[in-house]
Parts: sequence; C-alpha cells; structure tokens
Amino acid sequence: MPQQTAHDTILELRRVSKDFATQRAVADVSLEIPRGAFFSLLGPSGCGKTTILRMVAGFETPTTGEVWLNRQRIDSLPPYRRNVNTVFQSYALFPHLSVQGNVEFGLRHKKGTDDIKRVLDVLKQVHLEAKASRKPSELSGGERQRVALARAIVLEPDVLLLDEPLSALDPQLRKQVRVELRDLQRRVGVTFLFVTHDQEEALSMSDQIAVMNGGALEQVGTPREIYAQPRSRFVADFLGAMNWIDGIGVRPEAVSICPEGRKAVVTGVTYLGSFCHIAMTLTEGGELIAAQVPPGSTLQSGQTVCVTWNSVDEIHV
Amino acid sequence: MKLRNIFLAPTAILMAVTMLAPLAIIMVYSLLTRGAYGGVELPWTIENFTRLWDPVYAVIFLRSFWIAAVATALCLVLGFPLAMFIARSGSRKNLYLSLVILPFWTSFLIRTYAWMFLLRDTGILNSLLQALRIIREPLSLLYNDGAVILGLVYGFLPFMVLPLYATLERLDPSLLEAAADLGARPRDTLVRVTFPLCAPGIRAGAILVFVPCLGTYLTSDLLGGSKTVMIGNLVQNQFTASRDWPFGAALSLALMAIAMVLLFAARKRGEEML
Repeated sequence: MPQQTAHDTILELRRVSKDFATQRAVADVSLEIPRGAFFSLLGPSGCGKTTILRMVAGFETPTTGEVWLNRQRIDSLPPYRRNVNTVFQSYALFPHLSVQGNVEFGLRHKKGTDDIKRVLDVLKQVHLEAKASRKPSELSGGERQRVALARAIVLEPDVLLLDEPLSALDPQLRKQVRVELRDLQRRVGVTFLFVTHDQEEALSMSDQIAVMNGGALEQVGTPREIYAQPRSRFVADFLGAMNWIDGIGVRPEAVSICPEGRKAVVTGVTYLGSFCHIAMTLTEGGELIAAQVPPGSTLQSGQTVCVTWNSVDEIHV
Repeated sequence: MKLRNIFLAPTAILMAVTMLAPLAIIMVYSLLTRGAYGGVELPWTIENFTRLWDPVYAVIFLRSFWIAAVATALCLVLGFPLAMFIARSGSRKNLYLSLVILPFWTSFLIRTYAWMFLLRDTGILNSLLQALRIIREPLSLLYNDGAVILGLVYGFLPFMVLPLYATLERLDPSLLEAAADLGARPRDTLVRVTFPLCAPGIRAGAILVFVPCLGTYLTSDLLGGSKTVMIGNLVQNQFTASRDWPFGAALSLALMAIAMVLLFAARKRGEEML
C-alpha cells in the first residue's frame, strides 16, 4: 500500500520555487489542498499567487520543487495533459465561437466526445441555456464569467483554477457572484484553487486560505484562524485594518469608547453609513488608534475620550 | 469648404487625373477599332470583348490565375511562420519588421535582374553547382513557370507577412493558453484558434499578393521569357508589338473586373465571419 495522508489531498506543492530573469516569484512554497475544498491564495499583487496557479495549470514550470495532482507528478506535463482547468482573469473566451462552441471546445480534446447533452446541462447550471448561440461579444461581463466557468467545469477537472475571476465585474455584481460561485462549488464538488487579492472575497468564500507575501507563504488556515490568529504582522494587516499598541494588535471593531480606559484625542470622524470610523491619537504614547462606533455617534475632532478593549481580542504576533 | 476637405483636395485631384481619367480613356478605347499603325479609330464596336472568349486567351487567363494562386499559397505557407516568429519576438519585433521591408530599398526591377544573374545557365547558382561537380550540364532554372513563381513569391512575400503580423500581434496570448488548458495540442490550437482569429490578416495578405501577381508583367517578362505569358504580358503586347490598343484596353478591363469581383467576394465573406 502506498502511504496515504490523513486527509485526502488532491493537489500538493512540494518546496516549489520559481525564478524569473530578474526576481524570485515563488520561494520554497509547500501546500496541500484537500479534495473538494474551496482553497484561496490571498496576497497583494506580485506576491506569487498567480505564478503558483500558472505552475499548476502548466503555463510555467517550477525552477525547483514538485507539483503532484492525484498522486501523479505533473510539473513537467504540458497544460493539455493535466486534468486541471482555468478560469482566466480576462476569461479568454474564444471570440469566434458561440457560447456553446466555447463550452464544447475542450470536450473533444479532453474527453473525446462532443456530448451535447452535457454541454446543455452545464449551461443550465450557470443559467445560460438561453444564450447558447450568442457570441461572447454579445454577453454582459457576468455572463462571460459564467461561460468561462462552464467551459472549465464541463471537463470535470480534478482542480478548477480561478485567477481573480471576479475582478472584472462591477462591485455590486461581485458580491452576488461570490455567493453563486460558492454554491456552485458545493454543488459540483470540484476542488477550487482561487487566486485573489481581495481579503473579503477570500474570507467569505474559502474553506482554507493561504496568505502569501513576497513569493513566500505567510500562513495557511481557515478564514477564522487567519483573521483572528494571524501569525505575522503582515497577515494581520492584510486581512483587515489593525491598531498596533505596544506591539499588540487590536482590530478597530474590538475597540470601544467608554468612560474608563486609556485617554485619546479624536483626530477624525468618518461617516460610513453602517458605522462611523473614529481616528484617534493616544495621549500616552502618541500611537494612532482607530475604532468603529455606531453611526449615530456625536463624537467630534479634538474631543478627548477613553478607549478600551477586551484582552481576548488582542492579537499577539 | 471645411479645412479637412482643403487638405484632401490635392489627393482627390491627383486620383482623378491619374486614375479615373486613364480608366475612362481605357474604357473608350476598348470600344473602338484598332488603327493600322496603333492608336484607335471609329467605328464603335464590342468585338474586342467578344474576342476575349477565344480559347487562346482563356489559356493565358487560366495560366495567370494558376501562377498567381500558387504564388499566393506559397507566400502564405512561408509568411505565416515568419509573421508568427516576428509577433513573438518581443523587443526585436521592429528590427525583424524592418528586415522584411528592407528589399523595398532597392528597385523591384533591379532585384528581378539579380534573380536572372542567379538563375541563368551561366549564372551564379549553376556555376557553383558545376564547380562543386554536383552537376555537369547547367540546370534550366530560368524562363519557366517555376522561375516566375519564385520571383513573385520573393517580391510579394512582405505583402503577406505584414498583414499576418498585424493580426497575430493583436492575438491575445491568453486565448492560446486557454486552448491548451482545454486540452488542445499546439497543432489543434493553430487550427481551431490561431487560424480562425487570423482570418482577416490571411484574407488581406492573400488579396495584396494575389491581385498584383495576377496582373504582373515585369516578373513574367524577365524570368518567364517567351514561354510563360501572363495577362500582363498579353496586355503589354497589344500596346507594342501587336498594335491593337482597343483589344489591350479590353484585356485590361477584364483583368480589373476579375480583381474587383475577387475583392468584393473576399469582403463579403469577411462580413459573414463577423
């Protein structure tokens, strides 16, 4: 019996590095992605997350390290021999083919069939059955994104790779598509490897998140873990606003303004609809601190207040 | 008058004088009778056009079509990989593009003469092969259809490469990645993605090569000799040796009509694709 990991890993990166001419894009990254998971790679632009995705897809070859898919080493296989599919950031739909033509494209090569029923099934899943004969240029941004999705999932890949698939949509639509995408992933059960720089996106959709910075992995964990127990200052800051007081992190939503506590002077009040963002300077120590208070707050700049927080909300890195 | 029309005027006048007026003259000549020593005379006649159906001329038309078609196909086969190479050369694109158009710095006539020096019985190629004792008798490389096609491909290759380059350069590389991602091997990607998306460039290149090849007269005159007569040589003959200006005019109009039908068909097809 070959040795088996405790949980079922579908995709594994073993000490993968990638060097480009002038820089190291990915530095010694090891990752295990569980079968059926919604796994996000989160980080600022240039952190290497897209390069990892491209190495899994086969568009780049690791300089060192190994990529394993379903217990098969794939890092030297060309893209067309790997059972993964990509939803591109720009969608990369074939402009000369109809929606149906785009969805059928891979079936002939990867499955050796032109199973029309399957194409229509998938189009129905993404609510595009009525637009099967349209050209991509006749579709809205959201529809194009769904064609890109349908084109990939019709091939039943082991892992679906999504390269910032929501970044081309307008903000209103983006939030709605997040939910749809999550539902789709649950329904079809395909493992998603989702690349994003938007921490809200990653938090709201993922089973697990890997935070990257400067080509290296910072932390891997569930959304709650990496938000509430960040292991580095970078992760803490990247996942949301953070106050740093004497080396201890406190999120603005954990800071409350009450009669007793440390004295601070209000330097700015920003009304944000569902809450007010209060910027303050601590009288002792002079550190900046932010808090979120109910939108009805009457605080004004120049006022002296007291701030406090629960020690359970403190983040030590 | 608007300013832009004022600047347009010189071109408009030039076009009228050098294109439309000669065309009108040709049309009139094609309907007149030949003069004894060249030139044209009355009465009006359509005989010049009925003569076009003579099999002698049909053979020349067909041969011209054949030669132009082969030259166009060869330009496409040779030009596509070259255009693809240039489009993917990054910062050296401009260098390679200027190399493609470098031959234009020398007159086409001189370059065609150069081919004669290369190909003739006592030319460089034959002398070299004989000196190396690969052949004993010189190969007849000149004065045949092959030499004409070679000259045409050589002369018109840039007209194929440039429009192909323009479409290939605009081709979104992520589409090629998407094709590979969906299981297409490089060959499948070429057939199912690259070619269809480059159709406008292929069409433009084919027209730019085929139409002038069809009407060529210099290349076939110098490299084809008396054996390979194309429509262009036939037209030239009517205005010189044969002194049959009206028939020459009718031949020119027929050639022009064919070219226009082809252009129109290609455009129509292009609209369908969109």
